[in-house]
Amino acid sequence: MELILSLVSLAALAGFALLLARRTALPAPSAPFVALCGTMLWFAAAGMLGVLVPAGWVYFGLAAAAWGLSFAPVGRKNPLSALNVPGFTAFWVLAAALLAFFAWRQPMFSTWDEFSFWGTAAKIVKTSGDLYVNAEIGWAWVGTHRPALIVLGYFFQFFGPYAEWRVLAGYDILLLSLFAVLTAGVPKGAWRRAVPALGFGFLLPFLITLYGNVTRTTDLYASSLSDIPLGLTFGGAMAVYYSNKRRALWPTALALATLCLEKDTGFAMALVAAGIIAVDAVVSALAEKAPAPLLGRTLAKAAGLFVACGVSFLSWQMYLSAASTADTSNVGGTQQMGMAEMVITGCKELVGIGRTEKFSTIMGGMVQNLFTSTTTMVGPFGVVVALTVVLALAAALFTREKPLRRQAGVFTVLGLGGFAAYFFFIGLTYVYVFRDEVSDGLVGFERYMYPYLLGWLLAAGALVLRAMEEERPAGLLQTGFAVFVLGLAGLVWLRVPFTLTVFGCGDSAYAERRQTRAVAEEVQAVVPEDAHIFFVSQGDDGSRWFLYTYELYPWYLDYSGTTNMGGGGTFALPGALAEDTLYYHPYTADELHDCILDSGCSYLFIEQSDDLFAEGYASLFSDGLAGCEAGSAVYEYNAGTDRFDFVCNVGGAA
Amino acid sequence: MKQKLSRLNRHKMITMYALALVLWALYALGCAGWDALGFATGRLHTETLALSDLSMQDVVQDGDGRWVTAGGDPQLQLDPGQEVRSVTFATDAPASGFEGYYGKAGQDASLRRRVWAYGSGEGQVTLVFPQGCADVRIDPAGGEGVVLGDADAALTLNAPLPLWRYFLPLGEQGLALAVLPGVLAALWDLLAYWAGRLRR
Repeated sequence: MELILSLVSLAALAGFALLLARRTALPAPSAPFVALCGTMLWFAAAGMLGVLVPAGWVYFGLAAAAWGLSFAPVGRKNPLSALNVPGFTAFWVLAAALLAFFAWRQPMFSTWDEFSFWGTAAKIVKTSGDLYVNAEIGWAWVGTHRPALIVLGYFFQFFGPYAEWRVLAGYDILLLSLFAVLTAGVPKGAWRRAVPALGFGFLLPFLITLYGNVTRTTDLYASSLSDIPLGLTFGGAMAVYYSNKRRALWPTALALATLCLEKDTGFAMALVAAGIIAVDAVVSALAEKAPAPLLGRTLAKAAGLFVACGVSFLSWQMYLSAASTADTSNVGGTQQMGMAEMVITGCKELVGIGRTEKFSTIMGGMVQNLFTSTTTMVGPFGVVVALTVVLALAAALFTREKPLRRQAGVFTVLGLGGFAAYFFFIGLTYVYVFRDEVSDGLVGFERYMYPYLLGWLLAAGALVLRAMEEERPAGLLQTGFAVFVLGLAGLVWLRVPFTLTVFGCGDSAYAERRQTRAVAEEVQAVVPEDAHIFFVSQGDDGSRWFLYTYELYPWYLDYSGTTNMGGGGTFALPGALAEDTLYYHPYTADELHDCILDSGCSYLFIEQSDDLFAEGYASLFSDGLAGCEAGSAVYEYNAGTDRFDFVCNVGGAA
Repeated sequence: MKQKLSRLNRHKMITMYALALVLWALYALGCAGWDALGFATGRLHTETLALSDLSMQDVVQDGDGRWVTAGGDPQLQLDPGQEVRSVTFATDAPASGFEGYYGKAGQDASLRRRVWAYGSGEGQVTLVFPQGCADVRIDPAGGEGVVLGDADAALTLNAPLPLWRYFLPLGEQGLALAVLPGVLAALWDLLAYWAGRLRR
């Protein structure tokens, strides 16, 4: 049933895509991506306005109308003509197949960030029918992340119950729509170009993101994190422009607006993409000796790209300032700087004014990493940069189209400049925002860099595909690209065993998650929904606490500790452990008792007890914690005895 | 005939996927027939192996005589003396915990020769291998404390498989079925393109 309801969402999207393909000059394979961008913007705006659910009904109503309009006769154009283009057909077949596969495979969230934000936010939105910014969560909820990807998951489960696989499928369908953009210029039946184009897109995340040790193989194409969609949307915004000979800017504007609402760093990337495309549009108009009014219109449209970025970015800032108490004026971190102050200080240090040793060390380390660390499957990031430039040059060399040669040149030069700027910006966050233990080891450097490279490479691929339309000598570029993609596929095949991917893994990949879900369901069965639950899992580093916060939602799992000392960890009497032990809560029995009751908790979920907990706090429990000997247990506060009474064991304990 | 070929040429992708399905069905029937022949000639036979007769790692008997996983990497090593096509295990342990590694005699376990188990009935777990294999290792759980069965627990080798099971692709076979026809259609199109160019 969930599958059918997700297919309804896909069908609604198809209505808009078909309408765009038929009634605008947009190439049909680009239509699903543009329709998805519109969908994400629609739901994000509705969320900000507090009308998410009504807007969803309106959306589906409009989709039905779009279907009707798509089939209304327009001249001699056959309503189904769009379906004859390989990329368009392939997108819908692949999207439907993906939904069916995920409905069977049932992939689940598995990484820390999915429980601390991305997955939890998706669950909150579906459960509450509202955005997540002010959700009642048991910790200092950082609900200021942008909503476009969260509402994408919501869109694919607008009908029916919440399911993680539907969120994950939504992300993948966005990626598929981006790959389809590459095939925009491929005519009917030209599978020699369509298949390598789709394959190139599909392989990119494998090639770029796996070697940085930040993406588990099983999570690729089964993750709700933002990095890969962010990078590919950045590339898609450029690809949708390059793959359209008419150089229409409105689809790019929609994509850039979406990019700004996917993540904060999306704004920086959107500005880079807007800059590249705006310069390209203006240079093209000048080179073609466009009359003044046309040049003026081009300039206005180019400026419109920046306006779209600005409006999108600021809309969320304004929403936050109205709806949230979070401070959004500075970028936080160790220096507590505003964004502008950070960039100005960084530029000064770059030119030598007041340069600190930290700045020199971090920037030097990043440059060294660029050329020496094997951060991608094809080598260091420097190799990816070179590969992108080679692709753009190949497009310029092998095309007969003069404007495309110019476009490839602008793309290469400005793309390199954008990369340098983005690289510098990431460096500044290490210098001014991150804690020393993060910045010293450049922790997560790969993760921050690969979105740009993913997008840039995708856009370079779009240029190559476009060059095939009028290549010289004929056939060479398409043959070369097909061989190149086959080589990339071989590389991925050799490096990544199929059974380690979401497409080939077994149930064991999600066995632990299924187990914790079953435990959470047992807890929910014995605890009233409005009760607050105190969590104990001895030895936890916070990951179990985040996991159960997600699993139990909308049941409220308390922060379970005093300010800055909750969210998992080990409870033990003062002095039982060294004071600097990580996540150690040194409470006396009375302090723990008061902590639980002061936070309004009437239930305790003891997922993992140990001798330290039993020795310190058995007196607080009417059974002396005997219930925990059989495994995880739930206790309820009894005001009459001022003790916690055993309710039941959970998780298959005897 | 020429017209038919021309139609196929126009619909390369559909043709390749249809051809792949036909070839897959023939392959599945061939495997079913080969196994049936094996059972008829004695090359294959259904055999029961007691757990106590197997080499094991991280699997022990507890005080009640039950077989329980006792470490981080429990393994059952089979040395069957015949080709193995499937292993069935009557157990209440979850099928999701089981995985099998297969290969030729003496071959090390590889992630590229791995299959997943499925629940083939109440309290029954089955592993099916894509080819007859001489060396089989079964990892019955991801951790310790999983009860595999009572003292007399046993595995059944080569229990006859229902015919439909042969038509279900296993792991990389599914990948090949999904991807190869598309790649071959693209290759066909490319060759046709070059043939056309060279003719001109």
